[in-house]
Amino acid sequence: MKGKYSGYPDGYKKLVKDIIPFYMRPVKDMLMRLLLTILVDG
Amino acid sequence: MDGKALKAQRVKLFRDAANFRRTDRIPHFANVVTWKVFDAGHTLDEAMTNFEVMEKCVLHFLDKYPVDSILDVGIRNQFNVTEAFGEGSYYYYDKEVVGIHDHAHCTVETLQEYLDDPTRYAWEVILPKKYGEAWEQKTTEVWKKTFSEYIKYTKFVLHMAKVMDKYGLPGLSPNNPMKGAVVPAVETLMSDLLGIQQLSIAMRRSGDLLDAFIERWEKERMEPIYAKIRKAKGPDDVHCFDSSILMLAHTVMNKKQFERFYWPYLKKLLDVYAEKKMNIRIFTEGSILRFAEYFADYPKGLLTFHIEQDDPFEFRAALPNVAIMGGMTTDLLSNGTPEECVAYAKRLCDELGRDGGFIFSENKMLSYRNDAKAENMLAVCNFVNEYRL
Repeated sequence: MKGKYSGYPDGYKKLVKDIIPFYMRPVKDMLMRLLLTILVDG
Repeated sequence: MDGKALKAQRVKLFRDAANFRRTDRIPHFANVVTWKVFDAGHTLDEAMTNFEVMEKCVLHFLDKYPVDSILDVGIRNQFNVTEAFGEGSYYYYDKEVVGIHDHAHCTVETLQEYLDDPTRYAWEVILPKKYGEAWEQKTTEVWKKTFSEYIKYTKFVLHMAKVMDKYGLPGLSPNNPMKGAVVPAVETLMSDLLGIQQLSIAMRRSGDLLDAFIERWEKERMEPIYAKIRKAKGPDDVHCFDSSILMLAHTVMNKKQFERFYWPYLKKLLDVYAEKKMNIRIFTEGSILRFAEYFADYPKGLLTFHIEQDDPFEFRAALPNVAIMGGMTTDLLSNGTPEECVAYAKRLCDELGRDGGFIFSENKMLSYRNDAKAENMLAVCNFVNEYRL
């Protein structure tokens, strides 16, 4: 992905911070993994 | 009887049947997915993107057909999340049909890279490939909208679990979308990582690479599951089964391939469940009878095979130690009369269920409009619910 979310893990971490701001880190990580699973497999 | 008491009664009924204990009636597990949308007067596109419509279809089914549990309460086919993200889904649907294209996230050479870091692999390889140029255009707003739809979907899943409780319907097993299912390595290879075509070719040409992937999957993904099962007290008292496993990859394997890539690992999993005297349901897509010998020595109670294409009477003769789920063919439900369907349902209950070991169900997931006539389904559901052995 280009722009501010480019690269892994930096761009990925920035995205997680931007779209899931209200949860503790482990919850954020879990939610993002599950979202990615839907986007990958769906 | 309230929902809680009814659920407890049904769990006992399923467990007794799985353990070959006599029951006064045969439990009915409705193998029903999207057929209920048509039966409620809607089309798939109306229900798959609208939680209210889908819930209405589920309630219509549960109010009309007396069943003891159901495979799906509307949570399996929802498209709001992927549609919020944009074009590029493997799943497709229209008014009448839902399906999935064969796809592959990896090549046999990149399987190890996937295991090294699945999130990185998704971010750098799978998603850019899947969404093409559109991947580069995803803005913060698109991601936020997609995440918001995902949260709505999660709330719908939790809401429908409460609906199940209200109707006293136990869930199939603890393996649900929220907790993750137990997936043997070859099944993930076939369904997502390599697809049918690449897996078939790799079994002939790249066996060593598959062995390496399966060994690592076993160590990193399955061994923690074995440890978790061993720590459990034993069978639970809230689900129909302790685990539900789907077998599809055997349909593209010969016996030699099954013995190399599948059986040693499946056996390890089954043996762990057997140690804890748990009950496992295996949905055996296609036919499993040509592999019957591998399952012949397990004690009664461990295995319930939900059979798809195998004849249930032939299956009982080949594997008398394995409980049967299924039996009612969609062919008869869609083409027969109510009288013919009930006569066959009676034969199934009488010949397969008198000493336990039988759970009535449909052989295929009822998905499309013509998978069953409503009058046949109603006649069969009423019969199984009322028939006493």
